[in-house]
Amino acid sequence: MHLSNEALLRVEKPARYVGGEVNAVIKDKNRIRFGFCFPDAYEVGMSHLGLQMLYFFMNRREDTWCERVFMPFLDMQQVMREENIPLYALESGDPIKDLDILGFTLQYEMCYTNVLAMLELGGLALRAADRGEDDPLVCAGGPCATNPEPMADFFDFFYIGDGEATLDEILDMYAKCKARGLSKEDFLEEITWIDGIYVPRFYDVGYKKDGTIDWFYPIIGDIPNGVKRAFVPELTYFPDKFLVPLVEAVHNRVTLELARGCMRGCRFCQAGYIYRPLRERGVDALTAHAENLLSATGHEEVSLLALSACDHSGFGTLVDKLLTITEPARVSLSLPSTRLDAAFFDAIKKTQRVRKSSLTVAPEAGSQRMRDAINKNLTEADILDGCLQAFESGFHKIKLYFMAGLPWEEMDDIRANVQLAEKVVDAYYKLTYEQRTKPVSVSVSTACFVPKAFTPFQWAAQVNPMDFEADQREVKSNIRKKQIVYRYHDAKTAHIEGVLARGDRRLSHAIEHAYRAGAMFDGWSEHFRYDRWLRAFESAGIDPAFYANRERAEDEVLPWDFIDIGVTKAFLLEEYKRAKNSVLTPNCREKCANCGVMAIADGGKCHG
Amino acid sequence: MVKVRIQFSKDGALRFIGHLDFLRVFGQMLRRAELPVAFSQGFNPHILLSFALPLPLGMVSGNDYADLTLAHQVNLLDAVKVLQTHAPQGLTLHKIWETEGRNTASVTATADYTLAGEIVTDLLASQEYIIPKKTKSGVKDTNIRPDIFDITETKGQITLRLAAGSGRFLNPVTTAKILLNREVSAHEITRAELYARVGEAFIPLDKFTN
Ligand code: SF4
Repeated sequence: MHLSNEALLRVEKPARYVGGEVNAVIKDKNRIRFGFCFPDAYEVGMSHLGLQMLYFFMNRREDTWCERVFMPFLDMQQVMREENIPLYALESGDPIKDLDILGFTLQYEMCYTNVLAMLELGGLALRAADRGEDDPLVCAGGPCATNPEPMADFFDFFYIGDGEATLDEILDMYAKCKARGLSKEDFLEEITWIDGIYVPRFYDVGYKKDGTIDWFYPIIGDIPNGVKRAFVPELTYFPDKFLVPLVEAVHNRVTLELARGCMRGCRFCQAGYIYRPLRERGVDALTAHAENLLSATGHEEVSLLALSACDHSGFGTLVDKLLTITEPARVSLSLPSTRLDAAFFDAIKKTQRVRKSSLTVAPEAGSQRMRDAINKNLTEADILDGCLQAFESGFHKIKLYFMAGLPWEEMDDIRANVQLAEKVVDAYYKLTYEQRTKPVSVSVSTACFVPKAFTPFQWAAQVNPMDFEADQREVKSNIRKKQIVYRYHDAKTAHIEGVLARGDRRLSHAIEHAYRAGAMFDGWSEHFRYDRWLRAFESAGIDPAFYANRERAEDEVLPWDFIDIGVTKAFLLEEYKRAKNSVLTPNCREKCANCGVMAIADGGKCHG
Repeated sequence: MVKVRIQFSKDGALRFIGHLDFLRVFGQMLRRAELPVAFSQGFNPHILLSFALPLPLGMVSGNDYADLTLAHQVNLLDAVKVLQTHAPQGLTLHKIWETEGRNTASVTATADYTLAGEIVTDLLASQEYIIPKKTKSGVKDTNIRPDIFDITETKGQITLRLAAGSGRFLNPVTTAKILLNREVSAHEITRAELYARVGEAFIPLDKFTN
């Protein structure tokens, strides 16, 4: 460690910056040095399952040492500048500049400026083209890598798809190239043929007069025309350890990945498309992981992670089995409340968490028309029955999650959110007087809808922030019951997210301008400044509305079209049209909708 | 149920975590070691674990103490070894023994702090040393002298024995600043030992029986 104790004591929660956590991996330096970079605070990154998985996945290799790098807070940045200490990897304390590969995970668009900040704190040039042969290779993965273009200029390569799929191949190739003394460029050329790899510098884009994309193709010979998502047909790998942070993280618990992918096909949800098909882990394997990880970490909580956990085909059995481990050890088992169906209530009764917490329900839209448009497959009766059951089992706080600004939404649809909340309050009064032990509270939370790549709404226009705010006022003024509380996300943040989410390569200049003007921690409301971003767009000659608030033509070349995510563009377009007419598409278990993902699954099994 | 006392020391990265974080980290170690710990009753059961005295952020400790209740008897010599294999970096377990009566937190009266330096201010010279001290109702002049029990120096190594209990507590950093007449950072200080008071004598907590 290069920072003195004295310097560390000048920052808040210094333990974020010193490593030394339980299960941290220390190796000698004669290896492939990989820096897993999480472009957000330590507490956020350490709660992220993907970090834990890939850290131990890479460190299971003899020839690789994977370390962690997080985004230091402003006070720490100040001290690092004063002490002349560049950003370092937590395990070795070595500057990130000295590592071989830096891999950023892009979990949300609002962390893009943090990526730039971390590169600069590490003493590295922001743009890949400006970094030298001795600098590390800088790559990125994670859900935002499915539209890599806005960040394309900053990275040497992107990794699109399941980490376990081809990371080994890439590291093998790196070892080989290093042994043969090949250049970075040679290595990048070699890996273009590996699934999931996108090397932006080998491709070029041309634009039409109207600003849309004219062409996109490789500019060197013998590389693929597009990029195929890396895919594992079966989820077999799971770490046998988790890092246990010394300071309290956002979550301090064992998280089990029940499944990847989702069978539901909600049309707004990017994860529901880019992780298809649904791949479940077996109940026995999950139980064994829980047992292992509890003894490896000493955590007091187990949580279940999946896009729709209750849809796991062995959910009930899994909960029973987990309880046989957790109960004697006084470990709590927390359930995600995605759907209020029988399976969920069965489970929640067994875990006895009723008195402890409020219940979250996500109808996403208040009116049936909008719920059908987004393929939520949920009737009002389902929701109200679920809430009534929740009240009967002793809950008295319900959080309703809605999305504002869905395509084709009208004022009536927005009012319907409040009306639904009122009906939920009324449902409470169906209980007998004796059952109503505590006052009921229903909170309405609205997020501003951000259309994402690889969803049926990738063609849709986002509502502009002024209209979002008008909608929010409308919801507010409609609330008459005192039991209802209203919370909403910042429309302005959603707007910037909307621009970045469907942006193209030209956006890199705007991102850099924003960063130069001080943008950092944009996902934190106290640091986000809308006007700074608007000025950045202006300086870069970019009209944010072109990216966020414009409906795309059906035949427009989209910036991410060169990626084969599995699900076909034709299927997404079909879904977009069905959405417009509020036509439901059955879930994968009911009937396969032929989304096309099986083409990348190489004989993997699917539902339907 | 068996009540045991654990003597340990804290060093390394652990100096950078606060009391609540340390409580969690210690509890996690107990769980990993699968010691038969006893839990509190109620809806949110927690391990029956308490510490003698929170260690300020930045400091390391020499002999530190915790009280733990076990569900049943175990071989305590083995328990030390097992705990050590599951301990986070920087935590050293010294010994565990059965105890009865009051918790360490309530018997701890003074602490020894050591640091390197040269004494400038003779705090022991008179019966009074007044400093402005922040309290809930604003800044108040306070005589800290009664809370200083001893100050010694050998070869540049200073040891201060200060009040350090739930009743009376004197801040070691503030005191060291006055003593050395310079800025002192918590990381320079080691809290070497904790004592219970019996009459005029101070007994280290591992020698003390209720
Ligand atoms: S191929 Fe059919 S069953 Fe499989 S994910 Fe696509 S729609 Fe669902």
